[in-house]
Amino acid sequence: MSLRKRLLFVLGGTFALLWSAATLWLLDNLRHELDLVLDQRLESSAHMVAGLLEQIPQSASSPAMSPFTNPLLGSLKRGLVCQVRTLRGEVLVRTPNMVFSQSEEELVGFSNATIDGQDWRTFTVQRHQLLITIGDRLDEREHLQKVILLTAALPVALVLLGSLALIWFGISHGLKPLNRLRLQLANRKADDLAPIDTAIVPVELKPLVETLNQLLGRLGALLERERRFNDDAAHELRTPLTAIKTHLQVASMAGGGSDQAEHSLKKAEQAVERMQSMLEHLLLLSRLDVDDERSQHGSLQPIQIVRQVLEHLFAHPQFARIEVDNQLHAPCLANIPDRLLGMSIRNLLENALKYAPEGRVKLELETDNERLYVRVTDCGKGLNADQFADAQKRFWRAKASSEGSGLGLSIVSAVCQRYGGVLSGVQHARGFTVTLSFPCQLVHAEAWAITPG
Amino acid sequence: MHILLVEDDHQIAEGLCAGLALANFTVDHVDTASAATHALSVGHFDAVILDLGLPDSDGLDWLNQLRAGSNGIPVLILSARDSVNQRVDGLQAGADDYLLKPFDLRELTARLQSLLRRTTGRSTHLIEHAGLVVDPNMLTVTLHGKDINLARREMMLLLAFLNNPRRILSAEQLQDSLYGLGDGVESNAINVHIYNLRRKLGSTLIETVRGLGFRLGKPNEPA
Repeated sequence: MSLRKRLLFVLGGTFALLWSAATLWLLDNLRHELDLVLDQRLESSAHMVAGLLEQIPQSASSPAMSPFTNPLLGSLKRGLVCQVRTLRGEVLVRTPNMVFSQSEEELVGFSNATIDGQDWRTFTVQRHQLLITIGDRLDEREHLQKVILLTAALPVALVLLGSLALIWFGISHGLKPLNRLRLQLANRKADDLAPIDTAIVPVELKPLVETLNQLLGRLGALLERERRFNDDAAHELRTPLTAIKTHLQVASMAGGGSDQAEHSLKKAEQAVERMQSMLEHLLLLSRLDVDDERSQHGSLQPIQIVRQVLEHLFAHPQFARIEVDNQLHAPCLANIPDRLLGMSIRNLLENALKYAPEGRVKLELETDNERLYVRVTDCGKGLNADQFADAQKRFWRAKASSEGSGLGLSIVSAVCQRYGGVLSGVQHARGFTVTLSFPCQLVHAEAWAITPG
Repeated sequence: MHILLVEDDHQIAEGLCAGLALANFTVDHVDTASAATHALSVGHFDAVILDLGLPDSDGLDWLNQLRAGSNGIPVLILSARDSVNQRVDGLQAGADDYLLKPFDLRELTARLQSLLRRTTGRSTHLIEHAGLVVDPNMLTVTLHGKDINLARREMMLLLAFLNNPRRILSAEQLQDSLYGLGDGVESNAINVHIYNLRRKLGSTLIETVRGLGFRLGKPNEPA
C-alpha cells in the first residue's frame, strides 16, 4: 500500500471514527434533553391552565355556564391540546381538535395514548374537582426532533468531509519531499553514483538518504575497483600478447632459418608461457572470487602437498636452494583444498627464489594443534610492511619490468581470505620470512595408518 | 631514422628493437622516463615511441613535460590502454599518434614514416630533392630517373640528411642516427659513408661545414 493511502486511511479513519462517535453521543443526548424539555412544557402548561382555572369563580364551574364551552378556545391544527374535565368524566372545556377519554385511575401524570390512530403524549394534573390534561402529538415531536438533529448534524458532517479533504491535501503536500527524492533518483543515469544532495531533503529523510549515500559510495568504490581490475587485466594480457605478436613478426620478417628468426621464436615462446601463467592466475582468482571451493577441506598431509610442490619446482634453475624443515610430528589436515594450499606454498617459494637471488630458501611446517603454519625464509632484503601490503594487491610487482604476473601474492591473499588464513611478512637480520597459517585438525593415529604420508 | 623506444617490458622492447632494425630504423631502448629524458638530452632522435605505464612516471606526464619544454619531436604512443578517453588524453598531451597494443609491426613502421613525413612537410612517402627520389619504404633511390644502389648504412645516412634538409648535422648526430647511442664505432665510420654517398650521388650532395658538421647540398646534374 502506498504511503499516501496508508496515511490517509489511518488519519482519515481515526478522524471519522472519533467525530462520528462524538456526534452520535451528542445527538443522543440532544434527543433525550429534547424529550425532557417537551415533557416539562406539557407539565408546566397543565399547571398553568390549572392555575388559571382556580381564578375562575366556583359558580361558573357548572357546565352550563362555562365560558369554555365556546369552541373559540382555538382551532389549532398543531401544537398543544388541552382538556378540562370533572372527576366524573364530564368535559368542561377542551381545545377543539382532541378528546381524551381516559379513566380516572390512570390519569394523573404522564402517559401515552393512541386516539384515532394518532400517538399522543399527555400530562394530567388534578386540581380540586377538575382534571386538566395537556397533550402533545408524538409525530410532531418527532418532526421537531428530526429538524433539530439535522440542524446539529449537518455542520458536523460537512466539517468531517472538509477535514478529510484537508488531510488528503496535507498528506500530498507533506509527501512532496519524498516524491522529489524519488524523481531525483528516477532521473539519474545508470552509472551516476554521485551522492544525493542532503540539503534538499527534510530532516526525517536525512538518515535514509545518508544510508543511501553510503551505499552509493560503496557501490561506486566497488565498481571503480572492478573497472580498474578490468583495465589492469586487459593491460596485463595485451602486454605478453604484444610481445608474442612482435617476435613472431620479426621472425617472419627475418626469414626462416636465420639466427634472428630462431631467437625471436624462442622469445615468442617465452611470452606465451608468461601469458599462460597469467591466464591461469587470473582464472584462479576469478574462481576464488566466486567462492566455489569454500566447502572443501584438505585430504592430504601438508608434507605430501609440499612434496608435490617440490616436484613441480624441480625444473626451476634454483631448485637446489630450497630446504624443507618439517616440524609436524602428528598428522594433521588443513581446512583448505590441497590444490590451493599447494599453489600458495609454490607462490611463496617462487617469490623467495626470485627476489632473494642467493642463499638458501627455507620452508618450515609447524602446528600448534589449531593452526598449520607454513613459513618461508629467504636471505633477501624482503619487503617492509607497506610494500608487503602493496604486494598483495593485484598486478603489483616489486620491479615494474619484472616478468611475473603480479598476481602471486594476491592469490595467496585471496586464498587466505576465503579459508581463514593469515599471511604475514617480517624483515629480520638474516632475511625475510613470510608466514602463512590456516586452521587445521589433528588426525587420529588409526586414520593416519590408512593414509600414511 | 633514429628512434627512441621508451618501454618498460623487456620482451616487447626486444621484439620491437629487432623488428625496427629489420625495417632500417636505428633504435635506442630505455625503460624509464628519466632515462628517456637523459637520452633525448644527449642524442639526436627523429621520433619517440612511448609506452604509458612506466615504472618511475606516467608516460603522459613525461610527454606533458617534454612538450612544456617546447620539444617538438614526433611522439607515437604505444599503449594497452584502449578507452577513447585514454586515447584522447594521449593525443591532447601532445602525442602525434596513438597505437594500441598488440599492434602490427608493419603498421608501426608505416606510422613512424608517416610521422616523419609530416614533420618534414611532405605529403607523399617519396622524398624528392633536386632530381633525387628516395622511397624510404622500398629503400630505393633514383637520381634523374636512374637507379642508384646504396648500402644500408648509406641509405640511412642519406635519409638523415633528407629528413633534416636545412639543418647542419654534427658527426655525433649522424653517428647516433646510424648506430644508436653509445655504440662504439670508429670515429671515421661516418666519414667513410659520406665519402661513398658523394661518390655515388655527386660530391656536392653533402657539404662540409667546417667545425660544425655537414649539411644537405645538391646532387650531380644530369649527364
